[in-house]
Amino acid sequence: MFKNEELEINLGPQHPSTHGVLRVKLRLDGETIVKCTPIVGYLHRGVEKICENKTFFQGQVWTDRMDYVAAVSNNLGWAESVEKLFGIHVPRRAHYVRTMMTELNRISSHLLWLGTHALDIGAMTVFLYAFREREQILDCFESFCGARLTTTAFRIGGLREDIPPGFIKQVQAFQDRFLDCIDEYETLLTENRIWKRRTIGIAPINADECIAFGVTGPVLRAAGVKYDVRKAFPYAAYAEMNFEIPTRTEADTYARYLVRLEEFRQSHHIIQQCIDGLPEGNVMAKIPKVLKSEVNEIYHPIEAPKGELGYYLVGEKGGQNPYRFHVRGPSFVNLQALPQMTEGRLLADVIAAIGTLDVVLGEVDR
Amino acid sequence: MPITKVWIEEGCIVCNACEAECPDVFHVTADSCHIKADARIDGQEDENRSSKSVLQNGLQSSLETSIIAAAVACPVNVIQYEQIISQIPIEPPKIEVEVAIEVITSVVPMVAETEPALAKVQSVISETITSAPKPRITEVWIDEGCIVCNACEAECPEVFHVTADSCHIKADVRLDGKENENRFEKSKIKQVLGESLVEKIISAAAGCPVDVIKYGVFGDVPKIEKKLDAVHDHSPDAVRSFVWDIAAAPNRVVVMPKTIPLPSLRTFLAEQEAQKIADEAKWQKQLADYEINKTKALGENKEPPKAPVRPAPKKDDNDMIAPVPASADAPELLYLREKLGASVQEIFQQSGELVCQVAPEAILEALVLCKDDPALKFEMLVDETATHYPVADEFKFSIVYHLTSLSRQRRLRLRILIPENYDVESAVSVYPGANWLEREVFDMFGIRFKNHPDLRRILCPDDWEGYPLRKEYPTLGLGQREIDFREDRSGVLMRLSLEKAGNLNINLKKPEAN
Repeated sequence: MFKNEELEINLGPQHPSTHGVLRVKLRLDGETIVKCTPIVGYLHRGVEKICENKTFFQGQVWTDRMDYVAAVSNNLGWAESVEKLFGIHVPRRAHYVRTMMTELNRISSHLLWLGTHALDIGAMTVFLYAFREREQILDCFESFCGARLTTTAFRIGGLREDIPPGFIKQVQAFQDRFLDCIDEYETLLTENRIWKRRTIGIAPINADECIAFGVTGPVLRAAGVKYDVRKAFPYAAYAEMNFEIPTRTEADTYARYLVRLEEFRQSHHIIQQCIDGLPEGNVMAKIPKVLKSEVNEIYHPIEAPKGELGYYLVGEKGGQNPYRFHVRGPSFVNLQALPQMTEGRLLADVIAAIGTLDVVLGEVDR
Repeated sequence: MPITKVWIEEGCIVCNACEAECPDVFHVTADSCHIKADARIDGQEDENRSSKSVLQNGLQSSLETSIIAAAVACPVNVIQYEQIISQIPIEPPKIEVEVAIEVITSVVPMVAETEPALAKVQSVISETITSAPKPRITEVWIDEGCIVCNACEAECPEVFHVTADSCHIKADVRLDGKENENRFEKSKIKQVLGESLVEKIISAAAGCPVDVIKYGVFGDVPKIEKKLDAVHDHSPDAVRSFVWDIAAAPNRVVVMPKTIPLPSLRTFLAEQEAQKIADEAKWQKQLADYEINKTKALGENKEPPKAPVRPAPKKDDNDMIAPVPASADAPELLYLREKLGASVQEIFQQSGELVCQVAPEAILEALVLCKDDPALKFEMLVDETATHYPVADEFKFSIVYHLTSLSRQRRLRLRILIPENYDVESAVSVYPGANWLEREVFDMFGIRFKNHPDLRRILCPDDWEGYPLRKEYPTLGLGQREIDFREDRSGVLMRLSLEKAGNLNINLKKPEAN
């Protein structure tokens, strides 16, 4: 009566659950996915080309616009990459403030992930709770650098200004209530039967596949690989910080949720250490007004909220702008694993898979 | 006074006004207006022009006022009717237009006393009859294809209101009181306004760049020529003056490099050696000059010049120590050189990063070794990208592979140098994650990979021309393609865009003959 034929549908590029302009071409047999092809590039702005024609100082603002929910992490990557290219020694206080800001950003990025991921799957309430705390973090950013999203928070060589008076108090106020907030999210989701049915065993990708595809970040850690750039190749002040790398072995959506929740707690712990141990001193290294590079090439990875964010820079002798600039965006590389996670599974799980990968299309397409 | 017959003369403009006034009798079709079958004795439905069928008895009196109103409202006066006027015997059905008007004038005063609803009709009729009919716009509507350019509202704000996605005819001027494009309703505009705004509406219609403003007229309205300027000029010469020539773009920015910034220990040492020799030569020349000047001064009994001082290397007062290439001492690099032998071209360390440059033919072998050898165990390929070196002679691109060992927490950069049109072995068979990274390299540089499963463009559209991250690709000027709006039937959007781009000095200047 019914013919057994396959159907091809497009998920996106305008679809609320794709978090931007991701298009996924799905070949379906009934509700089962036979083939999944992510198609990217709708947001390509040529950031690499633009930055190659801007000075090192000007390039920084472009990094805000890649992963726009984790702009501070991108700024840190850029600042540290250029510092590595030039061999700039950054004061210790600047490192601490940077670490604190980046961890705040990790929390805000994960909060956005938590809210929207839960919203995609069907839990509306969490979104409102998550954005309540995110707002408080954005207020901290605002008092630190005047901007809330595209922060351009740091400068090459350190910070433009020392932290404003009252900033530590503001962060501490956030710190004091955030642990309870995490428990609140947990009461909403962790033992929620619907949440568990929608996440446990959904979109799995095991450790070997993760490593083969270059997947990093919480997705890799939820597969049981204890790899975090902050521990493996410490940068900023992470070498002086005491924190754990949360891992799970189930490698499914629920495990990634638990890993990210635990990362909330670890980030909270790191911020507290930064506040308590904030050293005195300068926040800006002594660097010339015009930076002219030597011949050098560097690859500098940092642990962005989504995974390993790497900047590849090539310097020209006497060049004021990078000869070559390349971004290894974690979202771009992680998105490659989407077919692996969804093929042979149900259509509704694609939404969960995109959400759990936590991609930001600004970074995928650059 | 009952109306016996209604018919439609030739010239109906299907304005729908009659049907709005009297839907029981009139039915406006696509090309004409029909007298409905229900209302007629003969039961046909057409203009009733030739048959002149009589109306149903019951309707003759009850619909009298609405039929008169419809006839008055008709902008082209094609609705004709016969009416029994009190005490006057029925004349043969041969009433001309003028006669009809006379009939109405004789009728209305009587009716107006009893039927206050007709007061409006009376005033309209008396106005039309007392004053000679002025030319006027009867209705305005907007066809499909409005580009919301706001030109009409600037010309005639009383009638047109440009919204976010279309242009509306305002409610104030319309008889039906709605506010929309008036495309289907074709509601008439108020007569007084139609007369007073006649020039404004016509010039707004003439100024519409996409010609979607349509209007119906009554009488001899003034004709306004369509405004033509350089942009809207449809003549073939005018269109040809826009030349889409990349080379002619005045703001085109191409930063062609002058050096080959390829970090390398060998080059670094050679440069240092050369610098040292140059410094020494300069110093010897200074010394020789000093000796000559000294003997010369002594011979002339003058004071001898000061002895030269060898300049100490400058030391900047800042927190920067530029990283320089150093010889390799990391075990991974030494191991790689030992294993791969002659295919390793260079190993060195810089900025704490390990670099191993191998021959392009041996890259797959090197990758397999790095991944599988227990002494190396670089399990993950985190990044693969390329750099364009247009100045170099023996190669044009470098491709770098950034490998990470999760278990040993080490990193390594493999590098190959390839000439133009060299097909590199794809790394996908070793590291599946290289798939998208190599697609990106292909997209941005045009480097092709052998045995790649799916080598298509990834970030740029499939039909993109050129490779954006090559150095000869300009930041401005190239890559702006012909604007092809599929829906732009008259080509105006394209011309507008060309004009806009021309104002920004982008890519539209006529190339100078040389």
